[in-house]
Amino acid sequence: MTAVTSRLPAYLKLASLQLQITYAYRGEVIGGLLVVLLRILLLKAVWTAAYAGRTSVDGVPLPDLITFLTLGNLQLVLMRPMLVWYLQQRIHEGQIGLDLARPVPFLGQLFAQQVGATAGLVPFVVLAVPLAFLVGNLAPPASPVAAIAYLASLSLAYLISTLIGLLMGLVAFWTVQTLGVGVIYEFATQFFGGALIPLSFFPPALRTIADLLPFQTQVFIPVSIYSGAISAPADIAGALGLQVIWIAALSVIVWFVWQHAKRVVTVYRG
Amino acid sequence: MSRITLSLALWTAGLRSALQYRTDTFIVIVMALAFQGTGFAFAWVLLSRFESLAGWTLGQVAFLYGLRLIVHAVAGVLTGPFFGLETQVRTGEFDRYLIRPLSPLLQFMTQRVEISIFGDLLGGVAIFIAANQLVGLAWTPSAIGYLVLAIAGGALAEGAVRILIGALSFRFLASTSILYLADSVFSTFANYPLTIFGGILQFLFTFGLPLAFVAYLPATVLLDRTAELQVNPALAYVAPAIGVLWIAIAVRVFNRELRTYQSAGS
Repeated sequence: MTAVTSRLPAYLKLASLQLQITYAYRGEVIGGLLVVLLRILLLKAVWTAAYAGRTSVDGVPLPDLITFLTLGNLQLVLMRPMLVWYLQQRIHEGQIGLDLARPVPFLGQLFAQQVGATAGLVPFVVLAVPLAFLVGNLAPPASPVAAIAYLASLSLAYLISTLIGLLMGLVAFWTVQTLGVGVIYEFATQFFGGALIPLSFFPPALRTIADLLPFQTQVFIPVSIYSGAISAPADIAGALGLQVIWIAALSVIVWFVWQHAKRVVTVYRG
Repeated sequence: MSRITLSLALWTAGLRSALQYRTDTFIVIVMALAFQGTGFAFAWVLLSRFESLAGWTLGQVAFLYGLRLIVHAVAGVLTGPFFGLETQVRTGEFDRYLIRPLSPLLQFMTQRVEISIFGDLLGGVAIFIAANQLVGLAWTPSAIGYLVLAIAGGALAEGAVRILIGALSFRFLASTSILYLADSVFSTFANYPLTIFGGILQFLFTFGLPLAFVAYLPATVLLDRTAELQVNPALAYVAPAIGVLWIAIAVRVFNRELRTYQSAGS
């Protein structure tokens, strides 16, 4: 613990640098958010047409469904693993040697940078909320308990996204390229996370696959807690527990991969 | 004739150079398939649960989806390089097209080939063939003829939008982010029957952007669904010609804007 506190200034500096970089690329950030708003607009139109005048399907009223999808897609913006692109760039440019030589643990550096980049996104996402309400729909959380549990679940989901991001980033130590895996990840989280179709509408076979993947913990679980679809204390505890299990499993995998990655690192122009 | 042979030679050279990077080629194709696959998986799962979307069955939506992807791939054959036009104008790299005896627009469009079009084509053809099994269309010679014209016309319409936006580069030195946004609008909304969107969007996607002409209007003709149209059904039959109209305007605007090009200056 003392190690973390003594390195705190270094971590804060790294995080604030990434925050500034996010702001410097604000044009791209705004462009990316507009694409998300377009997606929300499409989802609303398609789902409204699918409901075809019915007020509720499988016990899910249409406005609730649209709120679910709007929140899920906005939330995914905050969980983008920016460190994947960052790491690829550092390896490409040979700067990775410099990063590894710093007197701060490498994985800690990456984590701090990810948090900084996300912090830079927050104001943009907050500004997009009223627009998201206009093109999609938003409603307050089901209850004060739901709000608190949602924030806890969202934080755990963020950790899971970051761990998967780390895993994908470390792949670049072998492949140099991470663009492909990063893009496939983005679509997998959208689809299997439930940001296009809530998992409750999945056909059974597909639902089984989704339940075995980590992506449901990034969208479906937190948003279901927010909306009250998961509301019994035992169910909330079970959902948060599942997220914790994924964090533990992914941490072990990341640590294992990192131990190997260290040994294969190639520093270009080094 | 020599203009066409020359452009073809330049295009093949562009393709050969892009294919040199084999891993990149593979990754880009996989990425394109993942992107389009996710979009289609959404429509697929939704329609297997809800049976129809504004009266369109799964087969019919898949038909529209596949057609749109094929058109998108064909449009990208010549208009992929527009995503890099802004940079070429800023750095003055665009100079080189001005000193050779071939239209700068043709030279620019044939310099490089966007590999992702092969992923789009692969996905589009697969979805289109599967959709045909589901809808069981009778492919008469006139239907095939109309399909070919519709793909060409749709590609011209989508390409025209890229050319028009790219033309902004000369005066404003910026166009890439608008291009990406326009591309998202097409890949988000052109895959679905237009009737699911409100009146304002339907109007905009027909007369503001030629989005309806890319695949939706031709699909209503081929699937015999023109009765649902808000516009005169005749417009759907002449959809391919609308693409020609758009490209004619776009090329004119591009060449006029080209005159404002000032090179990088140093």
